[in-house]
Amino acid sequence: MQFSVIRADDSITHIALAGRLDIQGLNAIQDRFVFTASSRHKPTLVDLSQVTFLASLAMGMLVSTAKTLQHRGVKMVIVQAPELVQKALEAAGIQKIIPMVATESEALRMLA
Amino acid sequence: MRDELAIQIRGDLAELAQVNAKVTDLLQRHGTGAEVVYRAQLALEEVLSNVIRHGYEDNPAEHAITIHVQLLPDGVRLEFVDDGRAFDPLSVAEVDLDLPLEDRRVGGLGVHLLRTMTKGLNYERKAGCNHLRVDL
Repeated sequence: MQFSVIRADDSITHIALAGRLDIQGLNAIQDRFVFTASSRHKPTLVDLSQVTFLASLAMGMLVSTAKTLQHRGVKMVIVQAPELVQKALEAAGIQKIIPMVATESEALRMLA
Repeated sequence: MRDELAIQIRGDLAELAQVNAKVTDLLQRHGTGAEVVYRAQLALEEVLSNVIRHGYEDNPAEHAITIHVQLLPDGVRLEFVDDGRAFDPLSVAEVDLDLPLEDRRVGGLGVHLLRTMTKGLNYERKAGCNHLRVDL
């Protein structure tokens, strides 16, 4: 499981995840993900384009982080989830509480 | 080519990767579609991680969990047998997906995914063991 900070400036936090977000993958990145996204208090773009699997515990991490950001008045957007990952996220109703978009430019417009 | 598989593991989260690899290999060798393989991986992850994290009062690694995989004419069947505390996932209250973000629970999505991303679930408690059948 890989965790990368693509951009972290005054306007945005852009994080990319890659690999399997099963319980072991989650344990490998959860602390860094939550700290990076939550501590900067910036609109946050989470790129899932290279995520091949995402379990319910990882959905919990996304929901928890989005709640923290909302409490501080900023949004989180999920971008480019692969088809099967997106279906699982939608089955859990994640798209109702965290916007999910197909492109980075859409995400940036939404977070502007 | 064998169209079923039985795997026994210790109650250790580190065992999940090898279970996933064996089941995925079986399904892919039989030409199972990517979506059903994904749903099978999701069921394995959700059921086994739940049993191992919550099913035992003592050390889960001292317990065995058995997983039977069967390829059926119309799908895939997974059966899980564990000797943990009785837990019927069908008895868990539905998650309210219409709540706003601030009111949404962080947990509880695993059973919801099992319900919504499978064709059916069947639970029985027999001889001190949980028997959970998942049809995909």
